[in-house]
Amino acid sequence: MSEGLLGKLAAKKSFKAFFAGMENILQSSLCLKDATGKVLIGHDEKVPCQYPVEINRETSGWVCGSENASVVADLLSFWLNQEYEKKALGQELLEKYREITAYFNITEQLAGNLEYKEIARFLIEETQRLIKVGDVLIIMQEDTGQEILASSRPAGDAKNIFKVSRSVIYSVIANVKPEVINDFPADQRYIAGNIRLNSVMCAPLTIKDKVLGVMLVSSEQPADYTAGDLKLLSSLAYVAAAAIENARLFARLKETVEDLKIKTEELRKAGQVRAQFGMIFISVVMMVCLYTLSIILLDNFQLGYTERYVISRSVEMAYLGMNLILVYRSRMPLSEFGLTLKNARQSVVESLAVSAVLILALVMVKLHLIKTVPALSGAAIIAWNKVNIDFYTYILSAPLQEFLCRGILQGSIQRFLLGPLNWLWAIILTSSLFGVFHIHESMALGILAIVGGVIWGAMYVRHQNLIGASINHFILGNGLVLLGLWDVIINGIS
Amino acid sequence: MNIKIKAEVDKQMPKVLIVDDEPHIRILLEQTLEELEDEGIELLAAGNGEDALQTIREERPQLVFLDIMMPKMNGFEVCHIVKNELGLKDTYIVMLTAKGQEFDKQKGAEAGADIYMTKPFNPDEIVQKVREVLG
Repeated sequence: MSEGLLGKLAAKKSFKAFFAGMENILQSSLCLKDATGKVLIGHDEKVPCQYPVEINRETSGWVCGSENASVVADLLSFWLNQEYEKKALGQELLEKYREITAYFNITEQLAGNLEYKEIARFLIEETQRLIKVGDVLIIMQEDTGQEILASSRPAGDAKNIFKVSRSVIYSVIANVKPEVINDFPADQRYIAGNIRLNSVMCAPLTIKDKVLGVMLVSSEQPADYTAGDLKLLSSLAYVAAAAIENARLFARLKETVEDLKIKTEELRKAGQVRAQFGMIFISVVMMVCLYTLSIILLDNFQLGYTERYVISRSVEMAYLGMNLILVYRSRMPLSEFGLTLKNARQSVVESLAVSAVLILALVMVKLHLIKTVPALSGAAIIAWNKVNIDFYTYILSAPLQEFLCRGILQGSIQRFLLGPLNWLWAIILTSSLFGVFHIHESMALGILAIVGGVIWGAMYVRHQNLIGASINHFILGNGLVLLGLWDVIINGIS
Repeated sequence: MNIKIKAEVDKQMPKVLIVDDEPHIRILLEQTLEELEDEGIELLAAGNGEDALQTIREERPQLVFLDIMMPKMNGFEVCHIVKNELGLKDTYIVMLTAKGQEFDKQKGAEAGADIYMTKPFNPDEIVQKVREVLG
């Protein structure tokens, strides 16, 4: 630090004026030289005496002149020693100021940032700024071992540094005490590796009695780390530990809040499903009552086909209207009720395949009946005379029935029930109800409706849309009518 | 001939003036800029506004670190005189103060300050700024 002080002083105008003044006072010419003999002020003439200018007991230059030039040399020594001390204090002041600035920056950064890895990176930068020599690693102690959280070097180098210094890291974690080793290769804990470290400092990251990890400063060049450096690293490690722990807690808190949001949403949906199911349940009970009432009325008044048709369709329309209101009020997407084109192609193909197989089976049944039942002997396979208005309106009523039974009822029951077999229970329950609604026609139709309900329910579960179930329902229903089997199911063979 | 060249070198030697009434801040800034002093930059110091103006008149520094709250004459006044009355528009003035309010920044800008830095300053930023201004 003392080097150059004399030169800087000599370069100042005020000093040159002072020097000239001294020459006047002493009535003799003076020459100022630096330690190497280079003339700084004056002329290198042959002078009788030269006196050393000392800074911190080391010769920094010479004052040459007459005998009384020693006064100037002493004065300069005193002056430069004062300057030297001032510089030393200034240096210390600057170091402390840098530390304060670093803490200020860290505090400011921590106040506005709770990102775990970003904090670690920032702490590494600040540590490097304060402890000028070396690389910095933050190593966390996890359940599975040590993990490098952040490093001033690329990942590969950081791993090598960790490998070479791992014994020291283990020791710092175990003893919860910082360590400085300036001649690391001479230490028995040194482990030779792909990198040669000459000096290391390591401080634990602690929160109360818990060790979170360590901060490691290492240098490939010999570094003279001081007790002050170790103290600084330890205090930074305390700040780092608190910041990292805060960031971890914050991250955990964020996760918990996210979980809570999900749970709240699940709870809200569960409540919605429960409310929806309650409404569906009410509508089903009302439908059963209305249906039973209308059957009794139709029987009592012995109404004709047209009146029966109008009344039964009206009941269905009332039920449909009620359910449409429920769907609207549920605020759920229509896809939740099977009104979607998702898997449309697959459902059409599969539905047509199943329909073909079942129609073929019905034709076989019809042929068998023609052969074995005398009343049907000679009858045509296709009974065109059985085609009535129902045949044509079935293109609307089949999808509507599917919408009510599968889309609304079965879907709601499935959503309401828990467990892996909720879909199966939903199919059984819905098919049973579907059968009940048909049983007033005949027991055989009731049973057939249950079977149909199971097939269409399974299709709905598989395809998640009503397309396949509606097509199959339409083909099978009208197939029964065309083959004249509908009458057989309703009235039996007479 | 050599003397003439030396005089020209002296004339061209960049100068930085540190103006602050607190001695420890002056020492701190001098210490911060010591590495630049070794590179040939001359550091000057003043403890109040009047001394600062006199130094600026005589030495014509290229860069001035100027405190605001000072006895006799505050930093705003010094800045205004330097930029407007003395017409030294090229003198780069860095207002360096503990105050960080927007009002002060605006006042500093009106007085003609080139930049406003707040205490506690970052020593590395100070060095960087000097290098930037003096090239």
